[in-house]
Amino acid sequence: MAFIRVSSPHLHRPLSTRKVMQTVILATLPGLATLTWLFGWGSIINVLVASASGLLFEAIILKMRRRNPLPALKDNSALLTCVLLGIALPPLAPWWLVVTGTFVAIVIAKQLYGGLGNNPFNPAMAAYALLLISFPVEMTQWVTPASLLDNGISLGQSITAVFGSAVNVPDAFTMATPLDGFKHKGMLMADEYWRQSNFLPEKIWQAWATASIAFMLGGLYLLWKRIFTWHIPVAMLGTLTVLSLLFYGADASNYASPYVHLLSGATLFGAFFIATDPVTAATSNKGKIWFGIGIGVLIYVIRTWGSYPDAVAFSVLLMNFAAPFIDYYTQPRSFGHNKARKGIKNEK
Amino acid sequence: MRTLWDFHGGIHPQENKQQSVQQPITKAPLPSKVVLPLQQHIGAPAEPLVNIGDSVKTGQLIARADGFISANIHASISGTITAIGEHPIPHASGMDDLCITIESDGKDEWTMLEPVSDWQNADVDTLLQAISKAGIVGMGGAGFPTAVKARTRERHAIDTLVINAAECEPYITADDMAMRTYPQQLVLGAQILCKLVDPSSCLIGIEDNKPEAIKALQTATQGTHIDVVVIPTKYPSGGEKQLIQILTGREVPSGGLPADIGVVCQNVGTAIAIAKAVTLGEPLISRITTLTGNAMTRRQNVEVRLGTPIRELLEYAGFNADRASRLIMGGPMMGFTLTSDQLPVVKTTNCLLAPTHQEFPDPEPESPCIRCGMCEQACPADLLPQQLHWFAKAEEFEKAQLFNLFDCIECGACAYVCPSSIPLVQYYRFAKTEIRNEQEEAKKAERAKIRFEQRQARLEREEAEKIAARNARMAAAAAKTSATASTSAPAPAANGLDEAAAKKLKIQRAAASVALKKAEKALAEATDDNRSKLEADLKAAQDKVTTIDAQLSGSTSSGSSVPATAPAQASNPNGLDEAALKKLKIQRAAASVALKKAEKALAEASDEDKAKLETDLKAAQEKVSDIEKQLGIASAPTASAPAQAAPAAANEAQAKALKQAKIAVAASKAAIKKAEKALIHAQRDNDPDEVAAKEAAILTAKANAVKAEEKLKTLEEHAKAAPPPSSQAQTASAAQSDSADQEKALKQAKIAAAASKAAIRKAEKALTAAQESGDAEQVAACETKLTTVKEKAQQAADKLAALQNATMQPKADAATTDAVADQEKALKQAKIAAAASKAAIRKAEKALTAAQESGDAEQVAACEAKLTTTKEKAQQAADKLATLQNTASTEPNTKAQPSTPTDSAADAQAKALKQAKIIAAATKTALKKAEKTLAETEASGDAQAISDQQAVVERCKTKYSDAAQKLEQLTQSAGSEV
Ligand code: SF4
Ligand code: SF4
Repeated sequence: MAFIRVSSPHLHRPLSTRKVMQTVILATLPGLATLTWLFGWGSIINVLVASASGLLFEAIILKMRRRNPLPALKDNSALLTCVLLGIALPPLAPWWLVVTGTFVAIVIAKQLYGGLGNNPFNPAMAAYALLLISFPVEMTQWVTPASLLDNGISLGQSITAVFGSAVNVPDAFTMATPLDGFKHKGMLMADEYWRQSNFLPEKIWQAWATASIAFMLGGLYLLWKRIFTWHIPVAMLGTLTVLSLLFYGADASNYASPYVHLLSGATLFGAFFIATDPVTAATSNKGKIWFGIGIGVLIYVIRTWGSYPDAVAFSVLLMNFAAPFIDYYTQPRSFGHNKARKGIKNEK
Repeated sequence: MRTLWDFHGGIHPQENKQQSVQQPITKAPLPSKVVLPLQQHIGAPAEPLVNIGDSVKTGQLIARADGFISANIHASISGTITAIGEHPIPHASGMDDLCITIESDGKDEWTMLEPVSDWQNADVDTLLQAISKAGIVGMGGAGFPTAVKARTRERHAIDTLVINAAECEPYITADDMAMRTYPQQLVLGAQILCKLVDPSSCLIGIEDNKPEAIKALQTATQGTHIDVVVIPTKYPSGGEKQLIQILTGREVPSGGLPADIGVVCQNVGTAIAIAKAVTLGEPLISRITTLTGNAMTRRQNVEVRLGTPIRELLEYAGFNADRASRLIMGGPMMGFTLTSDQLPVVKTTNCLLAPTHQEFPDPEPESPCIRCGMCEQACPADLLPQQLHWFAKAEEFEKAQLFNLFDCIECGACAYVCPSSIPLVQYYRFAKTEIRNEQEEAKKAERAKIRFEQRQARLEREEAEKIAARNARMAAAAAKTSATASTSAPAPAANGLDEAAAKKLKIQRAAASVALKKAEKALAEATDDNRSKLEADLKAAQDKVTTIDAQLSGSTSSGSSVPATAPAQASNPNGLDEAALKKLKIQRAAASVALKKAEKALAEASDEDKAKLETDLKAAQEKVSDIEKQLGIASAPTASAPAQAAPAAANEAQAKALKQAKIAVAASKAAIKKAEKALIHAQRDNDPDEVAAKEAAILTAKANAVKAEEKLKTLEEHAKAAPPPSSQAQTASAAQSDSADQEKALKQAKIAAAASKAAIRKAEKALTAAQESGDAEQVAACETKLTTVKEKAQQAADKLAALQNATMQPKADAATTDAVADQEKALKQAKIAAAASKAAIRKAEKALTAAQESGDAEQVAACEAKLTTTKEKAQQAADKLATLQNTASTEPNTKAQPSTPTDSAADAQAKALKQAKIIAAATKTALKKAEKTLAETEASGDAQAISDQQAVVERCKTKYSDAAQKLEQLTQSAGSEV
């Protein structure tokens, strides 16, 4: 009688990569729903277009790399990338912008580097950054919250806007984001800027804050599910809070408050869904803390002194660069060793 | 409540322990046969003590621990040994190993058990003895010999004894049920261990998922100082290092042992086995094993005899092979799959798990690592499993080692959580094996070199021995002819030829022995690097000597056989031969013991790796001695037969000898076959090391076979030439083989002496190094070692000296020519010694001059002391030489006198007179010279030197007067007779 030979362990936790990715996608739903509720159908259309094109690209490139596309498509990793990209892009962005984005994310940033697990940069953010540099106008036009419009934007209008021949979204539908506005407040003092309520009504603030909090809820769900650990979000948000508090406390008239930094733009979304991408982040717990701190610092610096209004994408990409280095210098102290090893060289 | 610590990581897999705790422990039915692997433990395999066909009783020792880290194996049923050989054993790699198979007689008759009466008052050694006698090993998994572990106190300060009752693996309940059923025994075992280890606290660490066992233990430990510590359930809390951390907060250092931090850890099953061994005298012949998994209908714990074929257990458990997805020995986390049900239960088999496909589906295909870090969160060793996986996959083993790959305990927690289903542990095992192989590789290159040289030397030696044997045979044949010739008519011509040849050979012998001595000296001075080369030289030199000796003894014996035709002398040598033969054999046995001892010392002193090599060597040598023994038996009757003189008896004895020799030949052929088989095996395993070792074994075996065949041929020749007249020749040949034996023993002893000298030097070097490093402990260790080695060397030297004496004596007894030869040899040696000491003096004087020039007072004093010693030695050598010269000149005459006719006696007397005169003259010259030197010394005014020289003069005077006296006596007797 003969039996199969399998290496131990023989038990396996019923949690697969496919399941992990699926859970993350599910966790974006509250945020996505909020975005739709507040800003109209644009984000959902983005996500759908991105997913369809992204999966197609993944299948084609895998065929070209002579791999079986099925397992890769089933692991949900491409889908997650596309969903995240779709959420990050401005609602009602033209379809070609989205498709260009997924092409960059899936083909260039992911598969050309060797596919899942081998990409040094977060694919969604790589695509986002490339689009931002190439198409600054399209990328910085954010739709006006529905509550500010008389009738909102209907699904039909959204579809026409996305797939229509018009190069730009009708002006009536768009306006600057709070961070963008703050950036271009010109010589106004902060309090003067806040007083121009017609320029940035309270409702925009509310809309952004609500969406951010919805994403955070999704992120907390993932934390609870132990899909990732607290280290990166806490380090990143903590750093951002501390920095903004410092500058705001020192000069409230020129610097935005922690409230602005945390609840507007992509901060919370980025903290829970982008920076935590395991493939491109640092791996050890200590490393993750440094990784999060780095992102926090970069976001603040770019937002405050750089020329881009939001900085999550650039900060994450820059820290992606540093991740392997961080990993080498933040190895945990292994059991039974007096101290942790630093670097990759033999210490002799 | 005690403080508990936590360890990093860990997982909470489904426990699945309920299935197997519903029934009490039952005894599994007696197996129809048992297969007992000789290695069920860490360390060296046990050495079998039984033969096929022996009948054994339950509990009888059938294989003995071989070495310090090893364990006894006992028969687990009564019956008959039916096989001792390769059999598949339960092991992760699915390999075969040596096993003893016992076919049951169904009676289960036990041997007498010897419990330790009143263990509380027994001393530690008695208890340790009982444990090691019982063959107890760690029953939790690794199988480390328990007695060795219990001895840690000798080297470490131990403050905590931990009984590992965590049993954290899912499914397994063997310890749980054992604790519920035999809590008293466990406590007793722990108490015995406490007595051995003498800790300040004894903790039983148990997971909180075993409430019944906890209760039982709490009751049983009442009134003792043993603490039952309940720890939270988390895999792998039962890992030795993890449990120690939980209980004491201390981390076992990487690469270290629990004893390094003052802890000894033993498993529940082990403690119970200790209690049984001590109080009942029961050896480890059974264990409690969990049978579980849904592919079995009877899921419970059983007490099963070791060696029980798994198939019989599975039958008992109602195993359904169709439903099983796999068969696992051990738990689901660290157990390994079995590929067959023919394998036996061993000492470490804690569980047999037969899950269904629903329980353990086939593993999912591996997908890429997403660096999620879940493995890292789970790793109890605080490693970076994903990083290790990268390195292992890319075969960057150096980096893997930097990332502490070897701290991985292969617990499988990382692979359990990995969402990409990567068989991480498999990668680590692969990497570890590769790294170990690489390290082996480096060592192997070095070893191969040494081995090659040794083999070369051995081949040369064997060639030389063969030639020697052939020559000896030819000489024997010549002796026969000459003996026959001398019975019919004296043949002085042949005799003269023989003598001339003998002389020539003797000269050659002297030259060769000088070369040998030189080589030995060089070897003694050589460093480790060129030692092997020198050893080869030495061996070559020794071979040369042996060859010449063989030729020499061949011709001398043929020479001696001529006068042996005189009937008065014919009977005498035979009686002597017999006695000598017996004596020599004893000596040879002693010498081979010395050889082994010295070789051991050599192995200890040199590289660890050499140990394995030496073991092989030893095995081969044992085989040699086996065959030699048989040959010895064969030669004994031949020697004694002529002495009995009755032709019938002689024939009978010869036939017997012939038969024995034939057996020897057959045995050596069998040995060759076996070795060849082993070689093929080794080749199949692709282990070049093993292959080389086996090849060497074959060569040795073949050489033995050749020797045996040669002997057989010689015997057959004798048998053909059976008629009584040939008895002379036979005596000669017997004497010859004796002297060959002696030579061999001598050679071996010499090698032993040289080896032990080398060992001493090595130990001294180590001592110096230790002293430089200033490590007091190290120094002490080295000093002890040095002393041991020196003792061994002394033993070897003693033996050598004894053997040399022995070689001299019988030769002197046997025939006058031999005695003369010996004397000449001794004389030559003494001369060489004298010359050497003179050279030494010169050297010392030179050194003294140099020291004086340099003006270093201390140095000068040292040199002077040395010079004095050297001079004394020189004096001794000179004395010896003089004595020898005296005897050389007197002895032959005195011996020759009684047996020679008067005219030749007168001749001899004249010769003696002449010699005595020469001696007298020589001693006179010496005296004069000494006096002259004294005068010179007195002029120099060195008081010490003067007194030395005075002593010399004194001695010379005595000698002169002795010589003068002798001369006078001789002159007188010559005068009176004429
Ligand atoms: S758990 Fe598996 S997928 Fe995750 S980092 Fe470890 S090896 Fe990679
Ligand atoms: S198997 Fe090794 S690497 Fe994996 S969790 Fe256990 S100790 Fe850590």
